[in-house]
Amino acid sequence: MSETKRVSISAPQGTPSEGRRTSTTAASRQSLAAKRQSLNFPKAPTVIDPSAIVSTHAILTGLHPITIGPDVVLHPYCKISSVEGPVTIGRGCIVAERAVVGFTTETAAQGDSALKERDVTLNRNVVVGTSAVVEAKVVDEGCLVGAGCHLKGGSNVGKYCKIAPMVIVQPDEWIYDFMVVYGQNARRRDMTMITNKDTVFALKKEEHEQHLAVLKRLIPSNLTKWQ
Amino acid sequence: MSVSFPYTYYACSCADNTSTQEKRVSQEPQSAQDEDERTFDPRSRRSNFSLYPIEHLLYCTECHEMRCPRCVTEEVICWYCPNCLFEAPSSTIKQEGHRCSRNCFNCPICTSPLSVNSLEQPDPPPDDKPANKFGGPYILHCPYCAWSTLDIGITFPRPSNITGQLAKTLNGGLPRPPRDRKPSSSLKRSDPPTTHHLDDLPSPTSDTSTSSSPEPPSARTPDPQDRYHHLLAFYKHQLSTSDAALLPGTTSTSASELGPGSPSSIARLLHMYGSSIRSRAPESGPSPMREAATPEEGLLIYDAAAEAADDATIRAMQTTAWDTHASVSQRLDATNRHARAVDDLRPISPLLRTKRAKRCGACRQILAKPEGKVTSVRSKIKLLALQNLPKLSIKPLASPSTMPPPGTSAAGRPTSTLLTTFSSPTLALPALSPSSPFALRPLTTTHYLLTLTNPLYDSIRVHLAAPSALRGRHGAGSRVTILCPQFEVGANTDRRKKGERERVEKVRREEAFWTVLGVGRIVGL
Ligand SMILES: [Zn+2]
Ligand SMILES: [Zn+2]
Ligand SMILES: [Zn+2]
Ligand SMILES: [Zn+2]
Repeated sequence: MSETKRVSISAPQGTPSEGRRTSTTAASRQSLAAKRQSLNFPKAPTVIDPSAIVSTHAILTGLHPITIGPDVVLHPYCKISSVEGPVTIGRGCIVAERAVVGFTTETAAQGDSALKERDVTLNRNVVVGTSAVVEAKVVDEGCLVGAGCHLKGGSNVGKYCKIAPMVIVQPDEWIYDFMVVYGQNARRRDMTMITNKDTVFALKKEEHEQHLAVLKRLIPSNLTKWQ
Repeated sequence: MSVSFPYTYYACSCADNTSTQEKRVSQEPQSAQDEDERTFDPRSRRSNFSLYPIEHLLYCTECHEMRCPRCVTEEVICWYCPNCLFEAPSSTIKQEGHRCSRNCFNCPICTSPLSVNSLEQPDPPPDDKPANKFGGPYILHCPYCAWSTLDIGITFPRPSNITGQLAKTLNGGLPRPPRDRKPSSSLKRSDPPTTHHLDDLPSPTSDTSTSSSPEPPSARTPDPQDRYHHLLAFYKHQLSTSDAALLPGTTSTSASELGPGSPSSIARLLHMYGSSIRSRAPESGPSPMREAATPEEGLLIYDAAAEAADDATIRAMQTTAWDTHASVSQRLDATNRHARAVDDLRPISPLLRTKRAKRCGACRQILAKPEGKVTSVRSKIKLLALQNLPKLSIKPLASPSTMPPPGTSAAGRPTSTLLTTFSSPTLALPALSPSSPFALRPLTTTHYLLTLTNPLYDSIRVHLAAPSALRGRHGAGSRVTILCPQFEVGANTDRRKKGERERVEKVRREEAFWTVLGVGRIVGL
């Protein structure tokens, strides 16, 4: 009995590790449980909209409030950290796995200690890619933060920007609306968006909605864990 | 694999026995003697071109010599596009050039491959017709920097044959004016005729072409692509018709004969300078061709109009923002060489790549031959120096106690290890990173371990020699003591079953492939 119960806790249904887990010995199970205990982050005070998708394996930690808006999708193993300041995630945002939104204790220790305001806000329809770190003050509507990016503390990102993968945005930088940051910190204005607002906006909106719809089907939500 | 201080390079002997060298021997015996007497100095600048890590070297089994990139000849096996991995037949290369003519394009801003995207509005989504979803105008879009052909005002009605559609469209979306194929025919342009200073010159006409009165060219600078096609047509025309009519000796009173670029003038000049040139039979060589002489033939003339255009460009550059100008790297590609502003850039068709076989420069034996299939990275033939030459590797020895017992090797290959001692006097070593714990330090003795691995199935006898004192930047003045200057390395005892051995060989070959990819050439010692 306890065997099957433990399995259902440790792995989501249908993962290939299920078979392996059931055959583990009691000793290794115990060590696994101990490891799980140590990984337990303190739960943050959260306000989550009921339409949001928050995976069981998403991590919401910290002492400051975390606000998650409607239609937000938090992938498994993404981390929302309000250790240093409140975090607000607006409607329709997507945070991919291993991405970090907010200051964590490690990044706060490395960063500028003089930085006063350590709150992080993602406005509508921001997509944060895999293993990106977002400590920016504001990431405005419709931005795409690529995989492995680091938006350092105090930076501001305008509307409909695209931060290409692996780009590092320095502290206190302002990235204006419709900018593309790519390569070795090269910048250009996204003329496709600026000059063809109607067409391209509609397409982008459609694409984002489809993206959300697909993720909603694929990612099982577990809101009760955070309430 | 980064090359840290103790490393081994192999000197290819091809630098000493090329044919030019032999010729020089006959001409300058004195200097040749000097060269012969001089032993190989790895520090001379010339040696940079004949020192290679063993992974870069091939081995000719006929000549029993190693072959470096300098002494192999290459031949192209196939041409293919790096984007779509389709092979281009060589006839296509000759006709259409060395760029992919399929739907491949690279971003002119950041050079990543562009994708074809549909621009159809999602507003009227008929649920019953999902197949019709991706209709409407199409654009080329860069998934990395978000550039698209909308930036230069181009959309495509069809998703296929983008190359053809793009060739017919100018930046801004206007259709390209139809160009004239024949250089001799007059240009039909709607531009008002303007006077041109070439009109005052004698009209350049060739005998065979039916060209007549010079047409006034358009005032604006001709489209570079148009000009290219004019030049191309002109040279093709010349090639097809420049036979006996243009050869020297034929009486010709045409005005073009007076120009300095005309074939008869060239022949006259050749006649004047040196009989040796003239003594070669003129019939054997290609027929002389004149150069393009009119804008219709692709000549770009710098005139007042061009100057005015330049001034306008400079004024525009002064008033517009920095990011509207095309950068130097963006203009490096031939497609965009004329572009000044970002708006002038055009999508770049990717250059085709080649797969090449390598032959021994001396005996023409094939040393390396990749598989013909484009998608395969394997080789049919690859004679590596690694499989035929003893591999030397030198390691600093932290303390004598860590020295492994000689004769052991993971692969079952006989190896021989020996101790080399450098005792360094006063000079410090500026080029070495100070963090390296094994860098030579003044007045300290450092031990190095030289390991030889014998891949052959015969034992080899090794003689080691070193200069008594080192020269050059690294360890200048250091003394080298070889503790075991003569020894034997036993034969490769890897007498496994043939199939198994081949499998091992294969693995090793692929390893070598990856190492070669990962290593940049380090010039200098
Ligand atoms: Zn060579
Ligand atoms: Zn292609
Ligand atoms: Zn691009
Ligand atoms: Zn040979």
